[in-house]
Amino acid sequence: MSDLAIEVQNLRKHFNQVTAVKSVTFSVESGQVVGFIGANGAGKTTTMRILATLELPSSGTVKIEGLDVVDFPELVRQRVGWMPDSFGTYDNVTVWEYLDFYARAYGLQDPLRSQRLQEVMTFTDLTEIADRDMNKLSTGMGQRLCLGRTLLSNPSVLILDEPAAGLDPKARIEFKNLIRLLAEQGKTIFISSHILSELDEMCDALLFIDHGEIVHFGQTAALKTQSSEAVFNVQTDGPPEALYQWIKQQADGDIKLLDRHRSGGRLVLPMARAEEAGPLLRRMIRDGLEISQFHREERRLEEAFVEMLRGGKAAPLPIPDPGEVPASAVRSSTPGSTSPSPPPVPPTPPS
Amino acid sequence: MTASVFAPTSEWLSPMIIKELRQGLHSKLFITFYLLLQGLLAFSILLMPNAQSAGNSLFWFTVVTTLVIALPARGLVAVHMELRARTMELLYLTRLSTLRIILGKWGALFLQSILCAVAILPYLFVRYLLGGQEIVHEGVWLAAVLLLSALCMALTVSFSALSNWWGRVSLSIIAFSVLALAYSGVMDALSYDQWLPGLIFLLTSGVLLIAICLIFGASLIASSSENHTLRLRLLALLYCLGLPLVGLATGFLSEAAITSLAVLILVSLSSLLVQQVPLGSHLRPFSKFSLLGRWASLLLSPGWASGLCYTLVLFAALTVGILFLHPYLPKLEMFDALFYLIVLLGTMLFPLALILLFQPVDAPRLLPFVWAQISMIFCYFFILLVEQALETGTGVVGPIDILALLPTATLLLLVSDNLAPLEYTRFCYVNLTVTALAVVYLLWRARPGLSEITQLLQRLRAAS
Repeated sequence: MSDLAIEVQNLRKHFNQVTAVKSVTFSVESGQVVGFIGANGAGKTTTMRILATLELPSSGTVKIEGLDVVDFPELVRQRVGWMPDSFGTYDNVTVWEYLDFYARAYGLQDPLRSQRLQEVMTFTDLTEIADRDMNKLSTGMGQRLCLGRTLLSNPSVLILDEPAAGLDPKARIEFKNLIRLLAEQGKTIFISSHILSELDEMCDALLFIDHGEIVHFGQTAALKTQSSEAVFNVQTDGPPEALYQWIKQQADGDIKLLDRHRSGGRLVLPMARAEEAGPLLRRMIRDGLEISQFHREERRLEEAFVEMLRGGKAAPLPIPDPGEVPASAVRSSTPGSTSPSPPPVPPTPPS
Repeated sequence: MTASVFAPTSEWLSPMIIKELRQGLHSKLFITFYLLLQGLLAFSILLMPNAQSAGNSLFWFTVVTTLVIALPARGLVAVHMELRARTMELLYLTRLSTLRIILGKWGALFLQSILCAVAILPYLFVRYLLGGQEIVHEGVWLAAVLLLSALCMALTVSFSALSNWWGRVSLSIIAFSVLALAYSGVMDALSYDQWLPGLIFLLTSGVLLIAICLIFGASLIASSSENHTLRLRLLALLYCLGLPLVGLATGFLSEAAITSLAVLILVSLSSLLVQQVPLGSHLRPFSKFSLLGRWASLLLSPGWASGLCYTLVLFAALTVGILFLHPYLPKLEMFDALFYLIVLLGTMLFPLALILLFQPVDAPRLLPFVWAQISMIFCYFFILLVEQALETGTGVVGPIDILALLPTATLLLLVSDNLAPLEYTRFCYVNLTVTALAVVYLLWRARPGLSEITQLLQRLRAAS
């Protein structure tokens, strides 16, 4: 068996005149958990469907555990578990009957089938709802059932397309725990999601795709440190407008306002000047700003993503004149918090 | 738990059949339907003492409607539901091939049909006891109806793979009409003493047609990596060449000819209107044989280029068959039969040549093909009206001769018996020329596709 679970080289896919994937190349080692990130229409699902043998590539090679998906689709399918972003249900079929049907379809014979069904139902916590009609499940239960179906054949490579979409926070945490357990079992997991902070916690590496091209592939920690700018969170005791005005008045123009919150804002400095944090704070105090908190932040994954799409530059907010900022425009984020929050700048990838 | 319900036999049954039966048994539709059938059959028996003819008619009307129309009609949504719910692609990833999926859908429906037929059997005994009906003949008839039911189900389940509702329904109506035309004579024969040849013909033809329909249905939903072309084309070849011989032996030659032509048109068109995507997985079986494998791949691998070669070989084989059978069939006009074959080949290939001539596409598509055919049919009616208005005499070159350039129009003229004997030869030569030109042009366009197949095959052989 190859050490590479997924190997993609110069993959292209076009549908009539539309090119969905342009020359994509990457590889994933066995046992890795890789997050696949991209805006809607970036080519995520097409790439994943090709990996799962559901689409044929227009050109290029795709291998799963050393097997070409075009030449050996049947063998690849035995190794791959595919969980689509939405899955259809059957009328008049219970949870148990659904899983039993797929276990049979995967060729599992009794007593192995019963044993596998029990394992999967226990793992995905479906035992209590085994006799419930699958059409009457909540989204979270449905996703657990879908994951259960994916795991029936015990695949070594899991391809999960937006598995947490539509889940409430509790179900999302439960789902994340399941993924973590699967990763501990040594499965290779290739997962796409819009919730980047979740991928941040789950994944060993992240793969960014934009307009059908890979724009970044690397470890999450490296991504956060590989920035052209340093972000500082500043909190004032006085009105935040004073801080905004101060930033506007800086002659060098290197200091920019990235984000506002109730009692201050987030500033960006070019990475080359990141060491000037001390002099900067001294200048603020000297100019009469009542600074209560000042610290350098770890870059958020969302910002890294947006910055990547913008070609390495985080977009600062325009600085309004004093009194110009309406109360509704001030974001309610907790200063210094690392919890997920909406990205400060709407992602507008270059056309 | 629910498992115990199917435990004794479940390992032997297809997963698809188990799933379909579970769904079917949970739904109230079948039970309502079953009770209604029982009620109508009981009512027909009650009618028998006083109005035997009415009771008879009601009984067989109920049986035929249930088995040949109502139950097969349920098949029209069988595959479509899976496609709409996006469950089909999850099934692709299991070990179930698309053929097993289709077979399972059909099998579950056919089991319901058998269940109904078993429920009808006691009524045959009652009819024998009360009305003195021939129980053997009626039993044979019921068996024949059950076979037709299986065939109709195979058709509807296959067509249910089409996304367009109108397409599914209209194709089913056309197919049912062809079956009615082909099998009405056979069903009549079953009512008399000579039922054995009829039953043999029905069994041979029915079983082969069911297999062709199911493979065709599987090919409609198969992912690109699956290959059903080989089986479908070989089975169609067997049917078109073998069934006329069965028809000759059993005395149902015209019935055999009708169904053979229907298979020929269906399989040829499905071969000609498909994209050429040569894949290693498709050609690997051919790479094991040297020259034979190469020739077979040019006929039996997926794609319209090989489909063209296959269609030409099929027509050539039929021509040889007609030449061979001609001395044994005094009623067969050899010239007529060959003319029909040429016109039929032209009807399929001429529009394709036009599409490829005027549209820069890699492969002919269904929609332009249908439009081309409709245009030619309009042309046929228009010129016929002009001809009537001008009242040109036979033998004189008139507007109707334009139709000789359009094989579809010529076919309509032949079918409607509107072609005067003097125009016959002229039309034949013009059609032969048009068809030959279309064949030459299509072969020229198919050349890159065919060489792609050959090159990939060579690479596979070198690699192995």
